[in-house]
Amino acid sequence: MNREEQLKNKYFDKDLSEEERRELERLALKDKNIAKELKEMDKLKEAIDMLKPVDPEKDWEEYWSSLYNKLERGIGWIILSIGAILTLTFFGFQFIKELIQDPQIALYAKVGLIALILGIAILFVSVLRERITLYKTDKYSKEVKR
Amino acid sequence: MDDSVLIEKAKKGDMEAYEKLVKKYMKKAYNVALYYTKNPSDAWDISQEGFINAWKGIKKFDTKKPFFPWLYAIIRNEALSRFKKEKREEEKKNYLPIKRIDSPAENLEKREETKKLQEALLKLDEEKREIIYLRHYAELSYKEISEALDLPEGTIMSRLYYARKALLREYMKDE
Repeated sequence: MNREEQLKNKYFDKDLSEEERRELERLALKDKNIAKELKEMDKLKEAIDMLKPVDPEKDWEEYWSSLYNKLERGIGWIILSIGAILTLTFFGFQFIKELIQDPQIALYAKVGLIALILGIAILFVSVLRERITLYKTDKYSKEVKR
Repeated sequence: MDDSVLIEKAKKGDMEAYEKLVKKYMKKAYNVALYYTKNPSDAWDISQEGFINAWKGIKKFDTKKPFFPWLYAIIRNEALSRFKKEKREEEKKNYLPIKRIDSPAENLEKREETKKLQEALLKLDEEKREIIYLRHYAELSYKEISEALDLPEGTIMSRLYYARKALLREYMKDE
């Protein structure tokens, strides 16, 4: 950008110092095209200022409260999940122990049940591993590269 | 209070500090999301999702860096990925989420001027339109745009100059 362009940019932003304003005025006096462009810029700026972004449909007062509810719900789900995992693991373990020790249940049923539980455990670990990998490479967990 | 102090507190789980940060940037976040989603309701949701994701990742955030450009990138990526999923790109290209400031005294001539400006803005390419929106409607400073777009401030000034020049050309076309 040359000096004239810099001055015009600052003029548009209404950010000229007194000295810069005089410098631009001198340029405008010498060159009628610059003077014309400055007038057009004034008109454009006025039109820009007559527009604004579309307002949200909700009140700004609600912004934080609804965001807080979402954040709280997220924390709630994490605590609920941990609780559910611990409880299910405990009762599951007790149930299996009793089942294996029960002589009245056939061996194939015991094997089938153990295979079922083992399958669920493998699937759970697999999903968990995938989530951890995703978290490590998640674009939101570290600075976003453009 | 300084952003870095608020972020340090938020890193320790201080919700009140995060609330202050959210309240400081919510309007800018909404306006940025609005540009990419073109819809007030989506902009509200996406900007909130941005804050939620920022909260989740805040422990890894480098406090020496400014907060808003990081949030901006999260919101922009979130909005654009939803944008692609919905496949409404073409439809949204021809719309700008800006409107006239309500004024009963506004005359017909002024209404025509704003209409002309909106048409001129739509004729610009995406890069030029984006930088004009960020500067004039999302009200980001040169520094914030530079950090958000990861470009030197000088490049932003130059891009903005040429974007305004192109807009002026389109705006004054019929005069």
